Order: sequence, then structure tokens, then C-alpha cells
Amino acid sequence: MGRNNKARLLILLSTGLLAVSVLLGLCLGASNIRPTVLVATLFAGEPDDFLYRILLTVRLPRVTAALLAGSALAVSGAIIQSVLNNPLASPNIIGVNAGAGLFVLLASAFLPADPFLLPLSAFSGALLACMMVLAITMTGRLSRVLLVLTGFAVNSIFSAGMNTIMILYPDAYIGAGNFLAGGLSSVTSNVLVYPSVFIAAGFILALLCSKGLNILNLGSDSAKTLGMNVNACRCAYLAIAAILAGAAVSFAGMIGFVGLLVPHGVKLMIGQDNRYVIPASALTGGIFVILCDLLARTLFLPYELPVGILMSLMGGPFFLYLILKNRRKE
Amino acid sequence: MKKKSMVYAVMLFMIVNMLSGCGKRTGEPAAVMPEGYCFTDALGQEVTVRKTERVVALMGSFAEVWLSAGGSLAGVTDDAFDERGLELSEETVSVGKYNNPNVEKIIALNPDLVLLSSETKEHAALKEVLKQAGITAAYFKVTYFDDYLSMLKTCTEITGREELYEKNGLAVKTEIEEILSRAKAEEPPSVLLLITYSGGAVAQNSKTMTGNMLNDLGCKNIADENQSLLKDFNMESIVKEDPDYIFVIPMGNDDTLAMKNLKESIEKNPAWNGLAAVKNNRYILLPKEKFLYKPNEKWAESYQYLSEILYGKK
Amino acid sequence: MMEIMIRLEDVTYSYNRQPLIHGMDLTFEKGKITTIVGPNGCGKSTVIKLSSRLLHPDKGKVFLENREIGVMKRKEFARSVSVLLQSSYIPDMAVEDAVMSGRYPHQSPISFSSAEDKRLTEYAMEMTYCQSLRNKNMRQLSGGERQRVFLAMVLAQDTPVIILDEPTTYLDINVSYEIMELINSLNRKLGKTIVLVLHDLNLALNYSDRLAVMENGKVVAYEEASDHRVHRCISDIFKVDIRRMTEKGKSYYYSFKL
Repeated sequence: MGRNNKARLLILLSTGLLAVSVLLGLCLGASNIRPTVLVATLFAGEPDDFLYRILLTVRLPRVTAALLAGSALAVSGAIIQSVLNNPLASPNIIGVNAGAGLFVLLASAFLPADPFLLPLSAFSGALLACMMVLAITMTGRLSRVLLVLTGFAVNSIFSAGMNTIMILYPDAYIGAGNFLAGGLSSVTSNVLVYPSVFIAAGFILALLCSKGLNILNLGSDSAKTLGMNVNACRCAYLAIAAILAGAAVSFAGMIGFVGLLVPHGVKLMIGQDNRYVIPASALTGGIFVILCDLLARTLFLPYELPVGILMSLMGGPFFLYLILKNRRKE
Repeated sequence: MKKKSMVYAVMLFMIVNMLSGCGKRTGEPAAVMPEGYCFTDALGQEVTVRKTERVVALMGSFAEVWLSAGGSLAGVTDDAFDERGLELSEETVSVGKYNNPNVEKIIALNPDLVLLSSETKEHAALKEVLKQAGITAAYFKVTYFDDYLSMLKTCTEITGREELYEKNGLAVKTEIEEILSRAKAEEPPSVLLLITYSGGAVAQNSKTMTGNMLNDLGCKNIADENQSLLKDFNMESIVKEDPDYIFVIPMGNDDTLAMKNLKESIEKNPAWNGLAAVKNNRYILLPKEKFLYKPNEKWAESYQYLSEILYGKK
Repeated sequence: MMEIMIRLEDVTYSYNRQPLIHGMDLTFEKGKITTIVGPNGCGKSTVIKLSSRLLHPDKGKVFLENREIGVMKRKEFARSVSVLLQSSYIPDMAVEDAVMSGRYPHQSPISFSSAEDKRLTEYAMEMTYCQSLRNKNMRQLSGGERQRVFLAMVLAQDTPVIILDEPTTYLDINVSYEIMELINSLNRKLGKTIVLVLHDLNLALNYSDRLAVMENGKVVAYEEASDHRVHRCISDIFKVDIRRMTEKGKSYYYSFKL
């Protein structure tokens, strides 16, 4: 089947799967809710009913957060991989998450508490990290391995910064609460308002830039000869990736796996055309994080596993399978 | 086709955002009597407690304090069962581990009050969620006996059982004061207070719970001056100071692992055996129940235990 | 009448303080195939990159039909000059998508492909015999097929000037001839100005209108491809002999070692 058709099919399927995942995420948990009860409670529930409270203050924000974080990080990863022309790059590996984390902590330690400031500072930190890695990339022809090592270095610098702040200003975590507790376990809806705006904007921009990203896939020399302002475009695209990753990190903490695996997996399935890769990554990323989060909080009730572990457990083997499947083809 | 995906995406987000925006409605509590006990908690929040039938404590020691204030518990964390062996009613439910409480379970219990620790980041993270769910949450910080006393006072005022404050609070305070007044020595003994876990051992200064007790009893803690001991176990510094007493508290869930580390890495060191405290049999292992977990109403017993070691029975 | 398409005027370019080209004047004639030959490291690739705006001269200027290329807008330049570089990077995309991306300079950044774009892409694939490859991934092609696709990309870009840096390296001899025939037809049928760098002297001698011989950053000969002065220069530099043979009324040049 033609690649484009395969891509369209994947997108269609993913949309369906996403709807199912959202439903599962809302229904299952410490108390399981039947879908009919779910709908009834959502639209006609009483504030005193504990099911209503759980749904609105815990599950709905949590599933929304998983959806937003998963899709934002996946698209961010897809963009970064195209811009740096490196399939090993991801928001986590190149230090974007750590940069966002550092600035979130700085903001909580030194600035007054303001729900708008958190995603803004996360974005600034994410952008700074992106620019650092880009600047180093542009100084010469860096091999892919060196690029990853550079990201490693940037990551280490920011992580060290974070730890320093946590030691010197232990109260910083109270303001950054959700962020440092890690994962999605205490997300509330007011924390999601501003990031979701950034993320929606980021998606629209990413889709608009998918053509440019495709041109970058040809290699930077070819892109230049086609008349693209490669440096300016790279910066712009990375800025979009930073908006997405920064916004996601500001409420979800440091979930790194999604940005590397999901776009990679999507590309292995439908190729590199960003016009399809970007929406497919968004959908798949959302599904992945919703399901992993669901498992994390239901496998060993009442204990919750860290989401990251689930993501590695589920994502890793699937990824290996995709690699093997593709190797035999060629 | 591209446009379609965009439209789907935007629609989905709008729907989801609308739904999550509804959550704000639950912030308003149902109409209740304006009375209730009002106080300021450890996070500086103004807390008003109106009912106390269903209370959830997210730390074993807080569960114990609540019980000694005459309250009953609908939900606790595992450490209340495992570590404290509290006598809880059969209806009391576990809501997870103290550092991993399950917020859905907490809400499902429909609590009137939740007791949390201001020093645990996982608890701090729950502040917003509980607030949105319309659940009263009070944060406490208990390190020293005075903190316990203050928490007990607040709790007994909520339950209205002032006599329990007398019994479990003021009486203990008097006991402690007596113990401290009897504790006299010509020269303040120097102590090293160690906490061991499976990864190693680290010294504690007078700012910790047990360190503070030792300080009250007139001891000089070598880690107060020598701050590096707080981060690293430094045999050289210890040999140089040669403390009169060495107290060790095993931490962690597994005593055996902590003990193993103690024996193998520390006790086998010949420098260790040359220390005065070791030679004179003043190298003492302290029981967890009295010195790692908050002793709460049994705080005086912990003081007594230390006092007897330092100054003998009087 | 000789019309100049690209002109390098007193161009100097250094890398790491090593001057690669110093005060060079060179012109490429409109509608002709000009080939640059020379030993490795003589600066051929540098001249190509300076002519295609991939590098900017330290001193001097480069002109495209009397307009300085340094001040032209990027996309405007890309509509006039297309470049096929010798690069080992193979993009992971379908052939049709790759060829279509040659239309980028003619499109606005966000638009979809127009009917005109599709028509020209089809045409480009036709001219380079790539239609049967259209759904294959670039990475699945043979070397020769890939070069044809790159040529299709360049053709879709629809520029009056095409610059190619060693388009036949690593290709089998029969495939090399295929590619050169294609390039030749782009000039003869469509009137494109072609600038080539070739390492194969036989191909250079037989497919060029003009030959520029470079050595150590300088142009040491620049004449018609059949001119014996150029042949003598090549003989000196490469230590080979060049002879002519005639077959069916056409002249062919070949080089060999006596």
C-alpha cells in the first residue's frame, strides 16, 4: 500500500485509539467507573458525590495532562530529530527537559507564585537548552554521536543546576510541587490552562512547518540550495519544539522517553514525511502516555509506579520489535 | 487531509479543556455551619475544620497523634500498620505508602480532614488537588517534642478532648523537664550520632530529632562543629574528635541491610576499634521506635533511655 | 555573441587562513556546458560552492547576469541556480516527494503543491526516466537511479543554471554515460547553462563546450574543449597524453598513458 495511504490509515486508527484510551483512563482507577456512570456523572453529577470529585479533580485533569504531555513531547521530538538531522535526538537527550526543569525551579525559588510563570519559565529553559545545542552543532560538521554527547553535556549542566537549587533552596519545591513530585499524580486543572494554550499553538505551528521540516530532511546543503534560510528555520523550528517540550515539562515533570521513542516508532511505520509524522506522533504520543499512566496507577493499587518505568517497559520492547521488523525489510 | 487532522486536534483540545475547566465547580463546600475550629497550619494556610468523623492521616506518626487526641481514622498510610503497630479499627483503609499516597483513594473515603506533612514533597504536591476536591487538608511539621506538643494541642482542640492534651502532652512535658533537670555532668559528654542505611552512614547534628534530644541532655555533638560529617562518613575526623559516646540509628526498611553495612564497612575498620567510645563500651545502637520514628506521647521514654545511658539510673 | 551567466570577479577565499583561491576571475557562458577539471585539492569544489552561494567570498564578488548574488534573496537565487552536490547523505523519503521538494523555491512557505508543481515534477521524472521509481524510498535505489532522481529534483527546480559537483563519482561506467547523456540533453534540448566538476577526463573532454583546468587554486587554462592548449595543459598536469579519434564524422577525445 502506498506510503501516504498507510500514513492516513495510521492517523485514523490512532484517533480512534486515542478516544478509547481517554475513555479507559477516565473509567479505571482506584474505583472503577462504568462508562454509562461516567457519562452520567460528568454531565449531571453532584459536587458531593465522591465519584464526581474523583472524576473532575483527579481523573479528568490527569488524563488531559497525559494526553497533552504525550502529544507535545512526541511532536517536539519529531521536530528536533528533523532539525538536527539525527534520529538519536530527543527533548530529553539534548537537555531540553533539564533546561525547562532548571528554570521552573529558579522561578519557584525567586519569583512570586503565578500559574502563568511556570510554563513560561519552562519554555525559556527549554529554549535555552535547544539554542545551546544548536549553536554547538553549527560550529562545524558534528557527527551524530558527538551531537548526542553534546546534548548529554548540556543535560548534565542543567541537572547539576537543578540539584544545586534544590539543596540551597529546599522550599522551591513547594511552588514547583507537581513538577518535582514527578509524573502526573497531582495535576490539577488550573495548572493545565496556560500550558494547553502553548501546546495547542505549538501544534498548529508544527503542522504549518511540516513542509520546511521535510526540506531540512534533505540535508542542510540541499536545503540551502533550494533557497531555505537554514539557520533561521532551524532556530524557529527548535523554538516551536521548545514551546511544546517546555509546556509539557512544566506540569508533567521530566518524562523523557516519549520524545525519542514515539516519533521514531511513527517514522519506522510511515516514513519521514512530516505532514503525516507530526499529527501521527501527536496522537500516538498521547495514547502512549495515557495508557502508561493508567497502568502505572492501577497495576499495584493502592501503590503507584512511576510513569517512567512503565513507559520504558512498554515502549522498549515494542521499539525493538519495530527495529527488527524494519531490518528484515531492507 | 492535513487540515482534517488539525481540526480534530483543535476540537479535541477544546473539548477536553472545557471539561477540565468544569473542575473548578467542586471548590465550594456544601453549606455548613460557620463554626468550626480555625488554625494556621505549617504551610501558612488558614484551615477550618468543621467535621471530624472521617479523618485520613498520611503519615504513621500523625495517625498516632490523631488517635492520642481522641480521634478516629478512616484512612492511613502503610507505615501506620507496619511500623507503628497502631491499634486501628477494621474499617481503617490503607491509602498507599506515606511517600506515595493514592489521591483517588483519599478522595473516595470522603474525608473531613486530611493530615499531611509539610516536609514531604509528595504531600506538598497534593495541596492543589485536595483543595479543588473541596477537601480540608492540614499540613504539619514535627521534628522536636515542642512540635509534637503543638500538633497535639491543635488536634485536641479540634476533637474537643482537652484532657487528652493534658495526659498525652503536658504530662509528658513535665516528665521530660524532670529528666532534664536530673541530667547533670561535670563535663558535657561529646557524642557522635550516626544514622546508617544500606548505602553507608552519615552523622546527624543537633538539629535532628535525636540530636536535639542529646543536646537537651547537655551533650556536645561533634557534627555541630564539623559540618562535613553530615555529608560523608569521615573516619579521620571521628578519630580526631574521639567522642565519648557513639550512638547509631539504623534506618531504612531493612534493618539487616543497615546492620550489615555497619558491621562490614565501619566496624571492621581498625581505626574504629581504637576509638574510646568503642573500647569503653559506649558504642550504642538505638532502637528505631524511640529514635527514628517520632515517639509522640512516649517522648519522655526516649529521653529517659538516653539519660540512663549517659548518666546512669537515678 | 557570448553571454555571461555567472562571473567570479577577483574572488579570494580562505579556510583557516589558508588561501584556497586568490584573486580569481572566471566566467561561465550562458547556454554552454563548462567543466572544471584539476587534481584533488586544486579548489574545484570551492569554485562550485562560491558560484552557488554555499560559500561567500572573503574578497571579490560573484555575479549572476550582472547581479551580485550575495545580495539576492535566497529563494530568488534558488529559482535561478540549482546545485547537485557530491554528498553521501541519502534522504529517507519517497522519490516522488524528493523530486517535488525541488519546487520549494517556487512555493510560499506554507502552501501545498499546486497543479503547476505537480506537472513539473512529472515532467522532471519523465525526462530522467524516474517514473517507475516514484514510490520507492531513496535509500532503496542503486547509485545510478539515485543520481537520476537528484537530477530530476534539480530539473523540477526549473532553473536556467545547473551546477553539478562530480555527478558521476562511484557510478559504473555505463551508468556514468547515462547520466552524462541526460545532462547533455538538459543543455541541448532545454538550453540550460551547465557548470560541471568532473574527475573523469574522458567524460570531461567529450561532454563539455568549454574546459577550465585548475591547479593549486588557479585557473591555468580555459578554452574550448577541443582546443589543443587545454589538452596540453591537462597532459602536463596529469602526465597523460590526449588523442583524437573520429568515428562516423564525430570527434572523440581520449586520454591514456604513453
